[in-house]
Amino acid sequence: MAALAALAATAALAPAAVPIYDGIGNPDEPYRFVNPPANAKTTKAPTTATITVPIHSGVSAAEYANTAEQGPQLSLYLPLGSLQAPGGASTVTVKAEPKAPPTSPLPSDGTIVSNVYALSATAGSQPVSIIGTGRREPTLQMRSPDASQPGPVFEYRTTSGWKRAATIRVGVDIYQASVPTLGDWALVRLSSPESAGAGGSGVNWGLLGGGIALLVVALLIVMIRVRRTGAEAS
Amino acid sequence: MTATSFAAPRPLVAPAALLAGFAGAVAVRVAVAGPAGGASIRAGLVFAALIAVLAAAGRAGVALTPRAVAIGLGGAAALVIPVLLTHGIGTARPGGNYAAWAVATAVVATAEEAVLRGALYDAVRRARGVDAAVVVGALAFAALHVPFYGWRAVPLDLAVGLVLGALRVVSGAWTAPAVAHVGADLVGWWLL
Repeated sequence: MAALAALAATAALAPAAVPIYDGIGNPDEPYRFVNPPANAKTTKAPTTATITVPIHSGVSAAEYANTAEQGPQLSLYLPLGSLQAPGGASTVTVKAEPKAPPTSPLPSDGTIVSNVYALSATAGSQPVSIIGTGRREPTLQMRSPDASQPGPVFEYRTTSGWKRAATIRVGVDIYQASVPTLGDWALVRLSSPESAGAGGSGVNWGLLGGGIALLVVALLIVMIRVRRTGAEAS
Repeated sequence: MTATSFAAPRPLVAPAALLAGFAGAVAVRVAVAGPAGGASIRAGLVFAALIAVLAAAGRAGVALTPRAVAIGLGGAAALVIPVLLTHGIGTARPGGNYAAWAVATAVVATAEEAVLRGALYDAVRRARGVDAAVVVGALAFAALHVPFYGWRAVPLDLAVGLVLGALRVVSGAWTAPAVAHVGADLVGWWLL
């Protein structure tokens, strides 16, 4: 009963739909566009990620926010001390709200393939900015509408247009970037993808060798122990 | 003077070796999957083969009885219903490769139960008792998900691991949690 209660509680409190299974990861639901392309499947509306970040002694706590799709179309991680907490504030509200790509300005080096997500942080009515750098810089993950390669890169909107962010691929169709500033962020498929730097595929041979070595040693130990246990029993 | 004898706890060599082997198999899966992560069927099947060997080495016996199947089906319902109530049913699942996905998932899930609720459970139970066996299996189950789904999956998967461990205790066989695990996985395709 305790296990069932724990299951019910964690299922209800899970920040997004979490895989309950093991084995092979089941596929994501189709991408939810604010402004769907002509060939897109009909879906529910995309969701907004919202989190209230506590402030302790003027320092923002570590928190994360996911959108509610399966899997989440956006996940924002805020390390400890990543936000500039205004004096007297006890919490900061962080949001990532989907919106349709703008008509202008558009990225000059490619095409926006995802929703644009407006990242914002406020304490009361005051805007809050990011102060964390390095390990304290927020991390943004977004799911691309498809897994085609070369994959898209992150770009964010500045006063002079869209600026590319260093992007790494962390899943089949999931990309990650550090977030130096809030505002509009999107995944952009570059016109000249050779400079994307978001690839990465193939086997990790070092990890593979280490895993096999560990497994072989463990197997030998298990077999010896089982044999000894059997001999003792008889 | 009275001689008092205590039953010395059995050494933890076998459970530790099984956990190390399981960790090695997870590392191999991550290495083979590359950026595809948990969606790589090839990596999943390699992982299943490795842990099946581990389960066989640990002498995880198979006992597929009607009782174990019935308990497993009840467990599958217990795993699915909370998620169904909180997240609803998906309406736009791609259905094209469900059969291949389902077969691969069933193989991987069964192999995981053979080692976690089979060989590892038995080894930990002999060394430290039933409660420890359930908890260690649940912890290993939750940790397995981290490379593929991140830390957000840990609380729920830990709870799922405890439920699967309870099914092992009630049924006396790892095949009951295997039925529950496979059933929940296959139904999970349709859940949001």
